[in-house]
Amino acid sequence: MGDLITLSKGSKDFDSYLLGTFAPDKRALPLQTLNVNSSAETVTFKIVPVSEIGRPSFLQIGAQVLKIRSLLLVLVPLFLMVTKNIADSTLMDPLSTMLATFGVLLAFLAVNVRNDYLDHMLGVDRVLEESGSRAIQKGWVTAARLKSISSVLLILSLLCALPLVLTYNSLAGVIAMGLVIGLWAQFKRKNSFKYRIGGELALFVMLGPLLTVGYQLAMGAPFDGESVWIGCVWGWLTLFVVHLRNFRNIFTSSQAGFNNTVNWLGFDKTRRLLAMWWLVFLAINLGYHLYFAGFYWGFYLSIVLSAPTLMFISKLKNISSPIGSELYEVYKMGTYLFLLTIGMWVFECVWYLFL
Amino acid sequence: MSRNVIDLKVYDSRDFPAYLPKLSKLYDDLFSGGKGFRAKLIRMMASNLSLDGKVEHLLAQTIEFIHNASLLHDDLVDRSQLRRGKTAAWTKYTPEYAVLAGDYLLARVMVNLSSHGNIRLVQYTAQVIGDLLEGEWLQDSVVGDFFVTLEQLDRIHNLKTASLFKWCIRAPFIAQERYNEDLHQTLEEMGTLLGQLFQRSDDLLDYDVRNDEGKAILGDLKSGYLNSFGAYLCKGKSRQEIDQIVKSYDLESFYENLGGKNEFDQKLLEFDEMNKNLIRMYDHHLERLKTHLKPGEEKLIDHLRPLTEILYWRRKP
Repeated sequence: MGDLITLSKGSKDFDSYLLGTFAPDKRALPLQTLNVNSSAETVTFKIVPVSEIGRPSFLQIGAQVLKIRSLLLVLVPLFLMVTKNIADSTLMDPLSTMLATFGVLLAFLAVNVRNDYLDHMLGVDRVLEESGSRAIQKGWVTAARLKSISSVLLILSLLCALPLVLTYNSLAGVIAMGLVIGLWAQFKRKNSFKYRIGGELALFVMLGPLLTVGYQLAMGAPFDGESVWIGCVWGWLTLFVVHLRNFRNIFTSSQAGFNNTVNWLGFDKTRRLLAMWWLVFLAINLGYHLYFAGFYWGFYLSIVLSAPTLMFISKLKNISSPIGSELYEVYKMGTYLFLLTIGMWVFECVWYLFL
Repeated sequence: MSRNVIDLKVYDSRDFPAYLPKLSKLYDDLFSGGKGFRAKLIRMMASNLSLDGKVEHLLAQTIEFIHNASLLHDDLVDRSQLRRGKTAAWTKYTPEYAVLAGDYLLARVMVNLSSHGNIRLVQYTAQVIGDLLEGEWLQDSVVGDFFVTLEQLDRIHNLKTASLFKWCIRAPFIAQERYNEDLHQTLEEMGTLLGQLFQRSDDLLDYDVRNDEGKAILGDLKSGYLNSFGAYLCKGKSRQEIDQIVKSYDLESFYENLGGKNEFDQKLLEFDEMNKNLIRMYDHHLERLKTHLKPGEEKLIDHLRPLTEILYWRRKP
């Protein structure tokens, strides 16, 4: 075990240890935190020379820092929108579509990295030990470096957005709204915005209708109701995953004083919330197919999902502890439902495109 | 009362109403056993901080009352038949009396402390009792869950076990109206570590490791509770392997299901090594504590340092 140092939030060195700027050849790895999310927070760091830190390959670090797996959250709605516009023959501008895709991915990566940085500075990653990429905790990268990477990615995404806004002026409103929400999240210093009820709504809007409508406009296609529907269905599904994750962390995040819907409702009511949330998703997904796509696909999808849905609800009903392994089983089952839905959608889109 | 003549006999039947049937008998049984470690910890803290004798007695009584109340409730929740080698109160006197007797002790704690007049002490004590109850509730919710992780159990133990250790080392400072935030954070960290080490060591007894007290072997496991060492041993094992391990009827079959005695010994070495890091962290916080002590109180550090030896390695003081 290396040297230990304990610093409180009032200490002048606190930020430099969290940021990793206190010494060029050493890393401060947080070991223990008290009173996180308050002005009385103290963190005990283990000081380790950079040379003693085991690192995987650059690619592995990059994939972990950028949380490549979470790209699914934006790739799916983009794929759905492209499919819809190809099927409707409304994809007018392939170049701007590519630029918009690139810009959205860069913006999402920027938010991902920024999120890790903010979680570290606010102590969220010390409360929820499985949150984020854990790259800072392992000493692979400093928080200060993550902040810089995030800024570069954000600038690149804005550079992608610029020609799009000049070409399609109506896109400016959508991007401006996204920036306003992003800035609000950035300046919510007391608590990570994900762990607020308002933050959940912001996530729904940004990953849902704002993303799909903006992308629709960037493709040179006209604004339509279907884009909003797709956005709402996706946003709803995304929030299902968010609630599921918050449920998994209900004990630790409640103790840390995070305010989100799950903590507000409590253990028992959240079980009902998750079941209802998923059933509503099935209903709006069916509704979407009824109005805009092949009803038969909506029907088949509901049939396929019905068996795992029953299993999921049964697991939710039987869970008795906010801290044991059953909670993880519920989380796994919910994630399986989420991934199964995506798989079915992709299959449906391929069918629209090629059959 | 000067502090050097203080009698740490914390329970006196005359302090409780004689007209309540079975109450005195139940408390006599309850308080006659036990090592009184927490009261001794209070005494050690009090003597080094030159605490007034009456206050020392109040604190020792408070911690023993809370601890014993928790045992009354704990035995009922766990359906344990024995406590300190004797029939548990809930089986001897009925579950209703056991619950009421525990509640009565907690009520008495509040009466005694509020009479003392330090509202912060009352507030902190109430919070600790709340933590204990939360820990008990959570522990009960994972009974029968053999896939629980060490990290999850640590969180329960922080509420259930560590809260009393934290109280023992923080309360004497609060009683002296020493409220420095950094001091209390340091003590909080130390208490957390002591609680964690004590619990982990206690859990090792279940596997007959350093079990000089002769605690029942595999008692936790047979009650459907995978303790911290059990969770450590099962980490990385498949569900089928864990199912097999937890069905072990004695230590020999446990070794066999785990993959042999050598595997067990190797895991024990790793577990001890992990806990040595906690001990180092405790020593680090002791150094922080030094800066908050007044002249003449430095010996407190010398008395607090060996606690990890006593609590984790079970060495005699």
